[in-house]
Amino acid sequence: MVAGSEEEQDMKRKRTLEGDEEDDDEDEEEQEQYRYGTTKKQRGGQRKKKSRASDFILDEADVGDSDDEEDEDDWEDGAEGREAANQLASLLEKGPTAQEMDSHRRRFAEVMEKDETEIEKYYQDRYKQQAQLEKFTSTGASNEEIAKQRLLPSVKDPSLWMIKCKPGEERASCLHLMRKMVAHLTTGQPLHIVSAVVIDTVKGYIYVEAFKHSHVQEAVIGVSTLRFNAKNQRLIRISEMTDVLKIVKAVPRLKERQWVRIERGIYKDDAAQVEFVDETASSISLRIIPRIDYAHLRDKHRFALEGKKAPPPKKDFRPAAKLFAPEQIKEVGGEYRRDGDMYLFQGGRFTIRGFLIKAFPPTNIQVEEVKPSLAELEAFDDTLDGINFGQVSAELARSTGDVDSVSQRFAQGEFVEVVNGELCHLKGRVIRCEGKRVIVQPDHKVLKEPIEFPADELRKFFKTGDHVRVVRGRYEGDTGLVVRVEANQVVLFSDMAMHEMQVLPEDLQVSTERATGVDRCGQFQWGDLVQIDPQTVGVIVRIERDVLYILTMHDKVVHMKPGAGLKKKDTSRAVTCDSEANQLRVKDFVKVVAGNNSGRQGELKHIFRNYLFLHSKLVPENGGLFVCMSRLVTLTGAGSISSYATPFAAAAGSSSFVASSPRAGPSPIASRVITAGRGGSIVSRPSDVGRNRRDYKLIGKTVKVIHGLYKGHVGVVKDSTDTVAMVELHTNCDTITVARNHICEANPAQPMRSNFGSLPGLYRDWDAPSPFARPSPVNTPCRETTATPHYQDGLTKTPAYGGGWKTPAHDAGSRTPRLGGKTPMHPGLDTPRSGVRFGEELENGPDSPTLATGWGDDDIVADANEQPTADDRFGVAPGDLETTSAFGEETFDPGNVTPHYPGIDYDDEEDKDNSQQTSQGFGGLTIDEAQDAGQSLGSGWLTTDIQVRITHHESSEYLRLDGYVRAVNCGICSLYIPGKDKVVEIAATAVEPILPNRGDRVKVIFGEEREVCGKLLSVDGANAVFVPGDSSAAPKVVPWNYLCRLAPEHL
Amino acid sequence: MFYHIDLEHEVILHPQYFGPNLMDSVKQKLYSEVEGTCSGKYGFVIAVTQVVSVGAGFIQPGQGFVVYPVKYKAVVFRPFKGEVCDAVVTQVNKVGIFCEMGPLSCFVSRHSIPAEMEFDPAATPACYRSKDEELVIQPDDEIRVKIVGTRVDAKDIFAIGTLMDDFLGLVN
Repeated sequence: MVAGSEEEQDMKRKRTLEGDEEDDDEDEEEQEQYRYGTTKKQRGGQRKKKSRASDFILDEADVGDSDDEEDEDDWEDGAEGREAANQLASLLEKGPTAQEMDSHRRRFAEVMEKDETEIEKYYQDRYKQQAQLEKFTSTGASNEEIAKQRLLPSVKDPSLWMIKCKPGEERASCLHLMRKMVAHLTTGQPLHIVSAVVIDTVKGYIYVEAFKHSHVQEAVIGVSTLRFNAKNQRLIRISEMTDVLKIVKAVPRLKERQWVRIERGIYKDDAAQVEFVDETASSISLRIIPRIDYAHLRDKHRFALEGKKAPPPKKDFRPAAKLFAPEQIKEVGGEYRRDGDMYLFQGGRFTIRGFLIKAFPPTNIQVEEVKPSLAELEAFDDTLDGINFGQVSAELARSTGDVDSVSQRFAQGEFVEVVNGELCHLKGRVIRCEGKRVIVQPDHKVLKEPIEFPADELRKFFKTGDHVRVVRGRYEGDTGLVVRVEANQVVLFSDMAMHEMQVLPEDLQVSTERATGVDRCGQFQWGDLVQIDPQTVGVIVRIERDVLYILTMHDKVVHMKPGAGLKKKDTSRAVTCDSEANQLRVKDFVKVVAGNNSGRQGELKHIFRNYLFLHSKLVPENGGLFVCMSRLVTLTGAGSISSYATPFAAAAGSSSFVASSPRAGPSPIASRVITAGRGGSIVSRPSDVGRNRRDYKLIGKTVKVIHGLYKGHVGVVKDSTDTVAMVELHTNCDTITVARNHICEANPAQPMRSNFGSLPGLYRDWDAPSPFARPSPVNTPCRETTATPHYQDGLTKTPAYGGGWKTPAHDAGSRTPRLGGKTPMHPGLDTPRSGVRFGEELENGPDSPTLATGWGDDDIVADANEQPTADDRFGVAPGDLETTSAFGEETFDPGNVTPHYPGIDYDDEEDKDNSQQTSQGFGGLTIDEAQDAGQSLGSGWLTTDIQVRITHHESSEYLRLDGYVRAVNCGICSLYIPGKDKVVEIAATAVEPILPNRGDRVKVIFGEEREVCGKLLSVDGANAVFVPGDSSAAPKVVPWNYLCRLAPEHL
Repeated sequence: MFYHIDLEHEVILHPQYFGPNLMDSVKQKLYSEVEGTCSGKYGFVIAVTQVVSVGAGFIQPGQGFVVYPVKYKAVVFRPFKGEVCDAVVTQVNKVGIFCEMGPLSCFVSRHSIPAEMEFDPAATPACYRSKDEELVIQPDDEIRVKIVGTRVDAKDIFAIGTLMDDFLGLVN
């Protein structure tokens, strides 16, 4: 900030005016000059001899004009006018240096033979750059010094006073002085000070330049922020005067190949490499990727052809950074020339590789803390031949490295390589770090002593196969194995997911531990389902610092910032259907049967509409998560007759609770409190399943507490859920909360024999997250029919037909959601049916309780004696008269060895429970064997493409015939009988599997491997060894009778 | 590398097995508990060859379970850096090749596959194919791999391998 004398100000004003006039037509040229580093030809002459020094010589009053120093552009524009006039004088004054004369002579000899115009051209091109540099400095160091000497203040010059000022008010005080000066100009009593200066770094003082102290006091008086007192005004010695305005800026030492960033112009923020440093000229040649405006070039060329002037390029337009491509220049009609190993284009010098070499004033360059990104490094790598990458990266490290980070960078025990200096390529282990020095124990035959290195001469050294941790940067915290080491980057294979990372060696550390990884980012966790927008959801497949990788339902991975409108979604209750109409819920295992992911198996993680997010460990992409449409999958473990076969995963809690049978109540939505014939017990069945649902049926009822503290009290139920009830006692005004099984309805009409205590099983059942969580009219059980004494008998005493189907298993039946349209109830709802005989039952046809099936439920633990048989038969009975006949032929001794046909879905768990029951007449297996296998035959084993033998048939001609199963449906299979070339429909129970022999193609019909096809290798006792279909799989050992011979193909 | 070494294991036996076949039960349990497992130190236990001794069982107070210290000899497979193994390719993708050497899964990065082998995503199954189309590496092929690094966890070992050396690659 300068408030100068009158003349000076006038001059300044003049300059600005001149500058304005020129501004317009200079714009274009100005820009171009900035782009390519030299002035244009026609201006070259004018500007060539511009020199700071000459400026100062002629106009000494400019000393200390720091505005000029700071802004090159202003100076250029403003100085224009005087420049032309002063050229000659300054040129004469300076004269050529010895250095210049010498080089001139040499060059003169070189070009003697050449044509005059050629020579001229050559020089013009060649020295454009130099001309540019001259703008910033005078040519010779010696000259400059002399010039500087002359500029130094002497006794004749005004003195400088340092005046104490109110801290923080320096600037304001100075402005105040300036205003005062202007004001006094008009009064006729001008102030006599020459200038007032504020220096930003000096706090609490301003400087005033004047010839006499009295002048200073004159100026200071009345300025409240300045101290008038003489002891607060100090004269600066002449020798110290220059120091006042000296800009103390530590000019960082620049090294070649060092990375810098450009701070101004169109290359702002571009990374550049130092090509060479001209200390004397204080300019730095940088290697940068040029930004050439091809579009403008093309325009210019076109307009030139038409003889018009091209419009100036857009002002703020910043062409893309791209290597210089001669072909492209030609294409747009530009011209370039070659000079040795350089291209010359628009006055700029380009390397063969296409980099622009351009000189920049050091003030325009950011030197510290420059860390080129990997992309920038790569852009330069491509083209930097023979550059010592170690050095580059060391430089890189150095440029970022302060003491702290050095010691951080090299940890004790790390393996490092020397990349610079005499001991280049020496490897060793870091012993310790001392500031920027690193003590290294060399790994060398001869060198045994620890050696000290500057940190920037070292680089971390990794070998392929090292296990490392990323300590900085994008992948911070990740660990992995090094798969490739390049000069300045290391490729890692992440431990966490199957992906690769490219990391700078500096950011790595050898580590044995294995990252658990960032699996949480705020509220988000790996595998979470998030809503991206109202239509799109995705699952988080990877979490990095501040970035979530989300696999959307459209199978695309998008990167999102957490918090960018992301919402977590809970789909744990969602249900959908697979290709075979099986219910799918989260955590089910499914197999993809069609589409891109065909063949994959996975666990169902999320359901969104009909999109499924599956997880499989075998899928390397996206951490094993993939997306699939629900119609492209099937539930694994589901039989082919799956519409009935949904495993009854929700367990019946207890077999002791026999009161409910699968029959529908009077109303399909019969979630009513039903008074069973057995007594006043109240069964409350929620119409919907959910925890702690309010149970309205009980509210208002008078109940009696039968257990606990309040035993014997009677009260009215005020509120109730499945498990607890609030009872307002009759006795005292108290409302208590009691467990439901501690109360029973006080029904004076009927003696209470049963209580809610018998319910827990049921409750558990309904509370459990069952696959049938949705209300379904058909899954409402009815108890009327079970409420006969006969029923009780039937169950507990005679496990005969009569009661058989109302066995414990039937309470599982109450959970059958899929009875379809078939009411497991005879129309005569109210008829106690316990006594209904089996035969009659069948006559009911479709109305018969068809599907007491697949009680695939290990919770239905019933001992074998209680295990009914007939109910199982119902599993296959529906509408199948053949079955009936089959049954007809058999006699069952209930509770003992009975053929167990557990309906359609055959669940392993249940099989085990039923292991007491052996299949009757299963291909030569003894009962013991079957027990070994823990299996008994039902129809659940039946699957397609296997060979079976007919064991029961009304027509004897079919008996003992072999057939191939074509299709299985509801316990009926379509059998192709090759002997008769005929397809027959036959009950699943009437066939048995054919045991395979060695070498046969087989299919597994039981156990975990069910449905797997393969080849039987050998049979060893009861076990068989087979190779599953794909030859890569390991041979498996399964019980022999788990296998069935596969039908020949193409049949 | 395979080793035949002495190892120890503690078998915990339920009282229901106490009877004439007690020792057999102990051995059976040992086999089932030990074979196929992996420890970071010894690698994968391939097979128990010999049960050297079954020590005195110690009844767990209050439980009835008996703990038998068992010494046995077993063949173990411990992968090492630099080891050359034959492996079966299980999966091929653009990142590289996944293969298995018995129980050990190994990853061969694309960077460690010779440059003349290129990933061909169009083929079914996807494969790495040499430029002259002579060599094709696809799932189920046998390849010879050099292990360049292992990641040893408590219960698993994972290896990364390379094909960039003499005599490595497809085994005919």
